[in-house]
Amino acid sequence: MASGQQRQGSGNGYLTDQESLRLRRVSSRMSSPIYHDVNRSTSSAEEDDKGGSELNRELRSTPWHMAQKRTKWLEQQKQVRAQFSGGSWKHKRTKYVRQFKSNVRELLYFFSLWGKSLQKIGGNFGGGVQSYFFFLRFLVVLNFVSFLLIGGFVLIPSIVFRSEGSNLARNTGEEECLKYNPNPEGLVVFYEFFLHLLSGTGFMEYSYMFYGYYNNTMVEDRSLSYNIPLAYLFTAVFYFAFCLICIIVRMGKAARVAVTTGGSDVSNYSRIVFTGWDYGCLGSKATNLKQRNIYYRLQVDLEEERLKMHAASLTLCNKVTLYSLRVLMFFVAVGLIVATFFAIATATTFSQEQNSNVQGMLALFYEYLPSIVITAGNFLVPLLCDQLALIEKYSPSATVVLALLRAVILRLVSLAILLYTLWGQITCHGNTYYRNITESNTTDCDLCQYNHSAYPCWETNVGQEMYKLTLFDLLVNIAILVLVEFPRRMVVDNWSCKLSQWVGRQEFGVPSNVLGLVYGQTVVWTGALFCPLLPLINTVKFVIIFYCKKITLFNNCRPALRTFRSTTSTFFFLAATMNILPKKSWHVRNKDNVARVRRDEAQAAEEEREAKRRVERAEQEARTEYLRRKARAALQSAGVKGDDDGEQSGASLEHLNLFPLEDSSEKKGNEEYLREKKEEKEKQERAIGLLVSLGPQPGSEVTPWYMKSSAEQEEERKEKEKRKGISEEEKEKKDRRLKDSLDPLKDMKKAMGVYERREQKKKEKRNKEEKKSTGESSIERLRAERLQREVEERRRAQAVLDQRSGKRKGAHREMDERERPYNSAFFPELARKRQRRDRESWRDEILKS
Amino acid sequence: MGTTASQLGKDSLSEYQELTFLTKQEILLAHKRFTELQNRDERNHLNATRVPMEKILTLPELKSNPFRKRICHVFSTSEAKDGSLTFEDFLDLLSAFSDSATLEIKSHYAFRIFDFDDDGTLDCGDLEKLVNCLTGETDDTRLTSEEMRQLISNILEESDIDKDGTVNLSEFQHVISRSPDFVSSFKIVL
Repeated sequence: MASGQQRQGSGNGYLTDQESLRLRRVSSRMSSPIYHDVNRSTSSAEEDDKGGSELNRELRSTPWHMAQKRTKWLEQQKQVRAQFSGGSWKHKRTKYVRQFKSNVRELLYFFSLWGKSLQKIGGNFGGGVQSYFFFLRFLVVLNFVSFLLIGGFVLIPSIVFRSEGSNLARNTGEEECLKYNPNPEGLVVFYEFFLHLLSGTGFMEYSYMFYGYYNNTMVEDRSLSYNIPLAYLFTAVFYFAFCLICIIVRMGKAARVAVTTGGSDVSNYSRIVFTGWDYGCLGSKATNLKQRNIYYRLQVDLEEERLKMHAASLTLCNKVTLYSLRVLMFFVAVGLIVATFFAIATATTFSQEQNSNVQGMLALFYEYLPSIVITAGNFLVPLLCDQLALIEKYSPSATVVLALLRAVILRLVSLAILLYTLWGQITCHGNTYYRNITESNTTDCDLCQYNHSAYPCWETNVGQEMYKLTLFDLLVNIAILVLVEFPRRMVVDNWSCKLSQWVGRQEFGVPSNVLGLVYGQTVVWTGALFCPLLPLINTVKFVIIFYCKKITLFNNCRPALRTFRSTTSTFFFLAATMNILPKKSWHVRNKDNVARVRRDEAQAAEEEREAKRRVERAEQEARTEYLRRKARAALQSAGVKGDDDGEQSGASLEHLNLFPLEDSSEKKGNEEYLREKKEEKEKQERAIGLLVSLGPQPGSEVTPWYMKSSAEQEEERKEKEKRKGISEEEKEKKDRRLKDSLDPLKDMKKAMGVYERREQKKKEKRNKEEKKSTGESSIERLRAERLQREVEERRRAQAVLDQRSGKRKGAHREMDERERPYNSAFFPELARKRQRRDRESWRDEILKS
Repeated sequence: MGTTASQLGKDSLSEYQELTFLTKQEILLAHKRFTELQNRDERNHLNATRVPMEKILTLPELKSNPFRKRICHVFSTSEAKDGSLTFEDFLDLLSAFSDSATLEIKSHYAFRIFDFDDDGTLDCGDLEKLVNCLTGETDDTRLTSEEMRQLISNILEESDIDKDGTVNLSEFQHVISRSPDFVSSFKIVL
């Protein structure tokens, strides 16, 4: 830091005094050597000339203090001004564009929905909870835009044309099937009005709310033609496409982050420790909770590691028990979910049957029966599944994923079951029981392709069902807030008995809440075709939920013990599929792969050594064989007596086989040849690009250069050089010898040498003659040299003496201008320091000499 | 609010906007909060005076943060190393902790906050202090020495790429760059 700062300082001799003081202070303070490179790299990056705005952005993101940044900024401003002298419009434009952008950003911030609330939530409860509210806001905006779409293309044209009273489009199909006249009653009792509002019947049924009210209006003028049915259809299609695109865009963003950041399992502890703290936590209570939370996580992770080790040492019997228990629990969970589905189907059928038989509150109850069953199922089954998870003993992360998987399946499939049951009722399919009892319905179905007598407009009925689900969801949310969450908090806060302390304040569980949102949105998508105003209702509903959740968050909740990763969760829930990203490892160079490569390399080295050993042994054997033969021959020639013995020993040698396995392996083909062949083939494949291996080539260095410390690299480089040096020297020597023997120049040189020697002799003769004449002068020259040397020595001695006596204190050593790293006038303190150092080094030099 | 705006001056306001990640409103709010911490007679010369660390730490945003002292020390330009802040230091602090600050600058300052002994690397001592700050100093949340030892060796195994026994800045930034939530959690909003 210090040197970079100094260099910068020397550039501006025009700095004001105050700023130079600041700089000095900063540079003296930040003398730690490490933050050095970052700073220098950024400053060097800035020295490259760039556009003004870019420079400022860079400056903003440099880890400097304000004073430093300001100095640099002023400098840049001057440069920019000099560069664009005469007020180039380009510069002005960039400046204005920048200003405009920042203004727009501020304006957007001002207008962005719930910006302040979201920030406050993020500040108080962390990123995970904030992401839930971001998601909620996204859904609100999405629904509102969808409503505008539908309203603009379908609703307003129908209203306009209805008031005008235009002609109906021509009808297709049976006259009987087109009859639709939902109770145009006169006066109704007030409570019935309320019931109608809740169940979507009565006055609600015959309104713009539902599909049935829209006419087959078709306007055809000379200038204008508008076909409402067509518009209805196209708007619906466009609405779905629009939602899909919005979600894909949003999902893409999250997925990109998830992919670039790689798996979450890698470096788990570092992540908790380095990034675990949420600096937005306010208040000592939240801080304590957060600390407890981190402690819990760390301990659980350490525990999990130990458990894994424990699991590896489990006996077979234990394993079998555990797995069978898990399988059993899996079937229990599936059974629970299926039971819920069955209950939903039964409830739907029952409510549709009882629909026309009863009146009043009971009818309302029957109307809402499917919604109630779905909500109850979605509330109870996850609770039971949590209990199952305790028995299953999966690892904590697996438990979370499993619970979510079950919840997602439950929510979405229960909706599908409801639709399927309705479909069966409407088309008289899949409900044999119904058909058996009332014969007449079959004829109805035969007539219009659907049960016309029970459902004069079946589309409206589906719309009503979805409307009820949406409404009920909202009501349940509000009811839980008022009837459960507030009382719970009051009880927990005011009573300090053990039970209430055990229950504790409510946690804000992000996963379950987001799941609720996804469910609501799915209902809307299902019903949007049949109930065009459902997006509007949903917008209002989500706005209300936003405020409810915010109130409950600030008043009733404590931060969750288990935190949820915000970025991955967004992707997770939008996809509504399982969180596959963290499970997959996206980079090739992970721990496992590196370990595998190392193992393979070690194995290869081992094999090589084995081969070498074998070769050596073969040679040795050959040698002994040769020697033996030689000895035998000598023996034979010496006497006939040892002949039998020799033969016997040879036979015994053949029969005695101590290493049968190794022998057989040696005999099995020519391994070296095969390996060579294989290597050649691999090489060829590699060359044509058929065989591509990732990571470093086998035999090359294990760790890539960027993962090595500088010391290691240095060492390696030296080693390489040494090796190379030796071999190269030898090679060179050989080469030179060969070249020398073949060089024609050598012959020429030889010839020339002879000639030169002759010449030299002549010269020497001449020199001798000259020396005789100038003998005096050479002596004089030597004397002069001696004198000079003596003077030099005396001067040096004098200098040392002066140094001792302190005479030279005032004398300044003149320095080269380029040697100075700063302007001493503006950095007197540093200049003094530097001088002292220079002086010392100089003195050392003198003492040495 | 109006008086503070005039006191801050339009030039310096735009300058601060240029040099930090803060918006105009945020700078004005910061100014207001900062002058509240100053003594009455110091208010006229904004940049000349330093507010001692004890007063800075009375801000509710920093009050309960276990790293509060480290934060003050890192952002302070005081020669006495007492953690006192000028207004500009305060703006630097808020800028680094703001919404729009980049990952790089955030991770840089995070590293310096965690580097308790200011030696430029996170060694075992730093990590131990860091973990103690994270889990709290009370006895029931402190990790046992055995757990601590295991944890630190795990951390070093994961993130100490060059195996020199410490975590340096680039290794730290490598870890940070793979956890996208860091930007949203390394945030202090007034």
